Amino acid sequence: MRISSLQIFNNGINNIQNGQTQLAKLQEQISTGKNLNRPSDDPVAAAQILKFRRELAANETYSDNADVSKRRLELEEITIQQVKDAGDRLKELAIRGSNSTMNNQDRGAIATEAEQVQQFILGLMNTKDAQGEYLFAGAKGQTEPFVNDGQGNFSYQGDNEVRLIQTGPAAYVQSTDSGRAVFQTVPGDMEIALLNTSAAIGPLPGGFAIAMTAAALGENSEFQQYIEENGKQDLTLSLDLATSQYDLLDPNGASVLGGAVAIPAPVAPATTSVIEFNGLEIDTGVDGTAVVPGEVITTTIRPSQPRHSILTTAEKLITALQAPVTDTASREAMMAGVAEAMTEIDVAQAGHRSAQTELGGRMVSLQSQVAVNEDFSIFTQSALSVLEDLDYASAIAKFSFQEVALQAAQQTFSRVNNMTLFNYL
Amino acid sequence: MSGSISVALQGLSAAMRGFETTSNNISNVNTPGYSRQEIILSSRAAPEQGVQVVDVSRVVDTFATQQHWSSSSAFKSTEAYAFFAGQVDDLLANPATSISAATDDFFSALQTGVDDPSSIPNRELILAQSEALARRFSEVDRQLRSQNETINAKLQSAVSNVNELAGQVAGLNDLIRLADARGESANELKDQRDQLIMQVSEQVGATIQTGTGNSDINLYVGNGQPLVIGGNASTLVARQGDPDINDMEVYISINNSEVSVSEQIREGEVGGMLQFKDDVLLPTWNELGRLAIVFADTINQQHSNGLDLDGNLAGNLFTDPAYVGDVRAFSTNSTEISGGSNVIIEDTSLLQASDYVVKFGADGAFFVTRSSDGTVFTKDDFAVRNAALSGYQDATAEYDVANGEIRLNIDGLDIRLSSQQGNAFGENDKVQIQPVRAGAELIHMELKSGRELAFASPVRAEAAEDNGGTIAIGDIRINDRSQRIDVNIVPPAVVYFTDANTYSIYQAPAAGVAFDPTTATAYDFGDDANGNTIVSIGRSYDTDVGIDIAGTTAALNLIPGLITDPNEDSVLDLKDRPMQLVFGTDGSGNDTYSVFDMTDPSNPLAVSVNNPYSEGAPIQLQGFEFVPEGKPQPGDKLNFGYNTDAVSDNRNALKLSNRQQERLVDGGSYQDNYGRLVERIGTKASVANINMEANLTIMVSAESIRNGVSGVNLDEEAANLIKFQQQYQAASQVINTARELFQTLLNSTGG
Repeated sequence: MRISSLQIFNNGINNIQNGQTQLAKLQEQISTGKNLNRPSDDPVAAAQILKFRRELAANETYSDNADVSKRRLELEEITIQQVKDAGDRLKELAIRGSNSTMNNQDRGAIATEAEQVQQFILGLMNTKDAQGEYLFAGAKGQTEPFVNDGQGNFSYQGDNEVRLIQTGPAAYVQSTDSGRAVFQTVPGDMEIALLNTSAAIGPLPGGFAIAMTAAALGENSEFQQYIEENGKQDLTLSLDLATSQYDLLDPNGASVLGGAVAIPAPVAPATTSVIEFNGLEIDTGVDGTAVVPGEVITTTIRPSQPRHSILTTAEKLITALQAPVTDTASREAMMAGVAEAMTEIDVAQAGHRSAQTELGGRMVSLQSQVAVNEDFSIFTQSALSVLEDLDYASAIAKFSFQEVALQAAQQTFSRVNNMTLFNYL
Repeated sequence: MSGSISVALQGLSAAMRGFETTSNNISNVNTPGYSRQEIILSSRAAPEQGVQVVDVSRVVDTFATQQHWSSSSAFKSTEAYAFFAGQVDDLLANPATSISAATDDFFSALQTGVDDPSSIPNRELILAQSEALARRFSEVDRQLRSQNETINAKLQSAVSNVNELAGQVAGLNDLIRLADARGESANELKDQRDQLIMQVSEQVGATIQTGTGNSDINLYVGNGQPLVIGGNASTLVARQGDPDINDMEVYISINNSEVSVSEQIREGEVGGMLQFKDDVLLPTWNELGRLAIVFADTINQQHSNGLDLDGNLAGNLFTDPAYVGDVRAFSTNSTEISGGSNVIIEDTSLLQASDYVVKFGADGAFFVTRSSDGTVFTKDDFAVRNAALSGYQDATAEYDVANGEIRLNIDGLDIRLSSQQGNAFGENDKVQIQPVRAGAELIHMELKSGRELAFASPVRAEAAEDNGGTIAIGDIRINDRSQRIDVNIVPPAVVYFTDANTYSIYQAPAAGVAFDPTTATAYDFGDDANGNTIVSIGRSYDTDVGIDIAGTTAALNLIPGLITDPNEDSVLDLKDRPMQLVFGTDGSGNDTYSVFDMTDPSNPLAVSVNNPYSEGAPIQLQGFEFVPEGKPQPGDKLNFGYNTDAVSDNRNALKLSNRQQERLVDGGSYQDNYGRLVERIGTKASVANINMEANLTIMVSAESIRNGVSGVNLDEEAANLIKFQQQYQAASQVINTARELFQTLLNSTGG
């Protein structure tokens, strides 16, 4: 085949240039340590690398989140433990206070100490975290959660929200607890509200003022038992003044009395009729005798049983201890008050314990999630490394080989170009 | 005797010509495009005898030369393509410019907000990262834009270069034809012309045809548009595209009429650049724009469902991308398109990364071409739009042919076009729509302060303290305010569902007044065409038909108790109106729930009573719904109120951060979509590189074949020198011998 001189020259140059390009590429790989330096080197691997990097970045965030959550959960745990310890102290004080050798003055001193413990617990329950947010206020982080109304009634001002934090692609850990869930665990007395009381259409005999009268709603009261047996549903009281009858209806409209009953006559000295139902007494405000055509009055009886915290319990204890004992009755009242407080402390402590157990469980799962994340990170790193990191041994071997090839090309170039017939003319 | 001398003289002269030719070849050994020449000798017949130089000809193989031209134009095309594709490839994947990396940063920052929603420094950090992400989008957009401008400038200079070259080829055609006619040598001219044609091929690629008397070479570009015919050259023009001025087009001007050849030139550098624009640049641009739009819209949707640090329902975090689309009429249209024509992005989940062309036909026909996949939708692909309902209705059209007004809903777009004069659109009039192109450019962060970031849910939901059952509140979803169905009737109406199959239509209460079905006034629709009263209470609901209001229907997926009310809007109502759910049982012992309006706590107002309860089935309340979990006991209560003072609430932040994993763009997450784009462009760049290498090999091989035939070999020329030297010496010897013979003769006669 015929070949022109320029071709010989150009081929030589091209070969050298190719060799240099290859060397430069290998050198780039060797100096960066990366197999892939731009996506077009291997588009599929590039997309995977992008995905792995993303997963690693997310994983790092999850680990950070886990750290933050761990710190907060630890703070919670310590705080609850301290509340629990203080609760133990309250119980000791209660036992000492109920000791029959104590006189009024001794009990007063114990009550004073109980007050201090109460203040201490209040401070703990209103703890702030590093960000200055109340730890146990739910989502209302800047609202003081437990507040004394001045009468010793402590109410909860926060809400029941919890904060979920992502610690894995599909793993969320609850990193806060609301004060309501942790502390508001002691059931109080049953409360009854009258809702949606219908207005009277005309003047009624005896006036009209439907109201709760006796609130015999304590722990073992008759009504409480009724609720436990029948559920805490609304009852609708319907007073039909045309027939002088009343009825109590459940939410489905069925009578719980087995049918309408006559409104009883007022018992002197009262002038209005009082209806009684399982210990629940409702003053109808009417005298129960007059007939008013078309007049039907309804009201909804809504029972509820709010809960309170150990703070209110402490207040009960303090009140019981501060009441001077003068006779047997007042001693029994004191003993009963202290006993009730002790029972309530137990209930509150049980709540604290279950919160602690839950916290412990959460911290364990947090830890195992951290371990999973670490494993994942190592795994992803190694997968990433397979894709993008350079195999130095093979790259350096290739480099040496290219070097030899380039040298050969350079040497032959000058040799070939030196060969010309003109040398012999 | 004298015969011999004259024959020898011819030999001398032939050797001289050979020597000259060789010398010429040697001198041009490095001249680009030079074809070696050789002398063609022939012997003379008796009686003259001797040798004559018939021609000094170029040694060329036309096929090899043309092969060289076409292979270099293919190489130049792939080279340009690979060069620009490599740039885009680097731009998209480089961590310093990658959208994916900025998205990671954004969501990582957002996680700090999830961890500590009330922290102002965290909020400012998130704001800064949002800003950075928005800027990253516009930065990548700017890079693509500047690449487009570079290509436009290069196209222009390439085109004027080609015009120059084509003119010269035409001129050379004339000269060569003349020389051939006169029988003169035109070797150098032909070499020059080959060189020029080579350059034209490198720029635009040209088809070669030998013209008149084998002297002319005619060049054609694209699909056979004549660039040079004999001595005449046409002109290529590169100028602003129609209708998109940024999309430069190449036209060929023949006899003062212009034909666009942008779609046809695929060879040479110009072809490579044009193909790159169609294949890589514009799709990347659109894809990036769509990603920006979907990102901004979906983040905005979630963000505006939350409360900021001050307890206000938040606005958009990024620019509302609904209005970034462009509508452009073609200059060839016979009817002017009104400036009020526009495109609004209504549903980003349906959005495509594409441009569209709407073309009007005769008799109310129209065609919508989606450029990304070339799909053409005709009039039959669109249902008739329900004019009484606002909002997006997929695959529908409303076309007023006579007045030139059309409204199309396709791929999440609401396209409205109207003619300027209010008359019918001209046949074959076209409008180009670029809904997403500017998406990445126009995305901005909208908030001024970190306090405005919405991390809290607007709903405070609590189970009552004394609940006996396990009823709990699962996921709360705020109804998307943009998906409300407005009913275009006056006065406003409320559609109220008493159960899944029955609904009534009432007059809406005055603003600020709660809707109460027990006291609401039935809507008065008057009589129908037959004089019968249109019933508004107790209508039966068929999901296939939807709500029928005054003869118009809208398909709704509704849940009992839901109120659809043009006046009522959102969870904001909870501010004035807390709600309570009370559970109970019906006569058969199944769980039920009743909804109460707790505006006055001592006077709860029943909104709906004794609805069947099933765990996990979402319960729809005013402006939001929630998923109940667990089993209630009768009398258990759930309370819902407006989430005031919820500075530590991170529920909306968590939902925002979950958007990173959600499949929101084409069945993938934001970054999946971006990864696919990187992969796609990477593949294109990689294929372009492979093609470039292959074409380079082909070009080098074609070049060596051509050079093998036409190139100068110095050894050969050295041999030729020896050959001609010997011929010359021998011929001189003949003369010398003849002289000696003559001398011998003289001597013998003259004594």
